[in-house]
Amino acid sequence: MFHFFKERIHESFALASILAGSVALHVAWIDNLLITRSSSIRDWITLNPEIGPISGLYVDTLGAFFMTLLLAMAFWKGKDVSHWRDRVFWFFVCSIIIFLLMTLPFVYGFVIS
Amino acid sequence: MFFLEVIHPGQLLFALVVLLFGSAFTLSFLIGSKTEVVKPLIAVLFVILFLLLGTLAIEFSAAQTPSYTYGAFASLSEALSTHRWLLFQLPLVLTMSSLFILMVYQERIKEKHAFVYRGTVLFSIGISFASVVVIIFESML
Repeated sequence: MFHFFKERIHESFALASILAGSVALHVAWIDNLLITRSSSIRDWITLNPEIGPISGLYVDTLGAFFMTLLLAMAFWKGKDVSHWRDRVFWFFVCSIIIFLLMTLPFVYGFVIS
Repeated sequence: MFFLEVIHPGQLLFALVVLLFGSAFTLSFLIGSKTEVVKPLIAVLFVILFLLLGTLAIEFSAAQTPSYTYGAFASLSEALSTHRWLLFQLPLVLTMSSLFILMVYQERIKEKHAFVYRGTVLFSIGISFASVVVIIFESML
C-alpha cells in the first residue's frame, strides 16, 4: 500500500480524509444532541443495551467518516483540489471547536424550564 | 497474573496511548524539517489506533450498565462519564485522518504546498493528546 502512494501524491485522498474527519465530528455532536433530546432516537440508536446509546453513536461516527471518505474520494478523483485545501482545513478546525463546545455536558444538556 | 489483577487491562492500554501520543506530538513538530521521522510517526499512530480500538473493545465487553446518562446528571462524575465517552471519539477520528495524510504524503510532506497537511497532522495529534489527558483528569473526579 505504501508503494501505491509513493508513485505520485494522491492529494484528493489526503483532503478527503480531512473532510471525513470533520463530517464525522459533526455527526457525533448532532447525534449526541438528538440522543439527549429524544427518547425514540435514543432507543433507536442503542445497538447494545449494556453499552447504551454510545454503541450506536460510535457506529454512526465511524460510518460517517468512511462514507464521507469514499464519497469525497469519488468526487475529487483525478481533479485539482488545491483550491479546496484552505477551505477544508478551516472547516476541519471549526468542526473540532464546535465538537468540543457541543459535547460539554452543560451545553448539550441545557434546558429552559 | 498479580499485575493484571491490580490494574485493569483497559487502563493499561489507555496509559500506553497517552505515552505514545506524547511521543507522536513531539515527532509531529519535526515532520516539516526532518523527513526521517515520518515513517516512525506512521508506525506510532498505527499502534495508537490499535490501542484505542483495544481499549474500546475491553471497556465495552466489560460494560454492565450504560455509561451514558442522557443529560440528566445526578452528580458531576455521571456527567463526566458521558463526556469522557464523547471525547474518546476525537483521538479515534483524528488519528485516522492523520494516518491517511501521512500515508499519502510520506517524505514529501515537507514540500511547500503541503503546509496545510502538516498543520492538520500537528493540530490533530495535539488535540488528541489534549483530549486523552482531559479524559484522565475527568476519570479522577
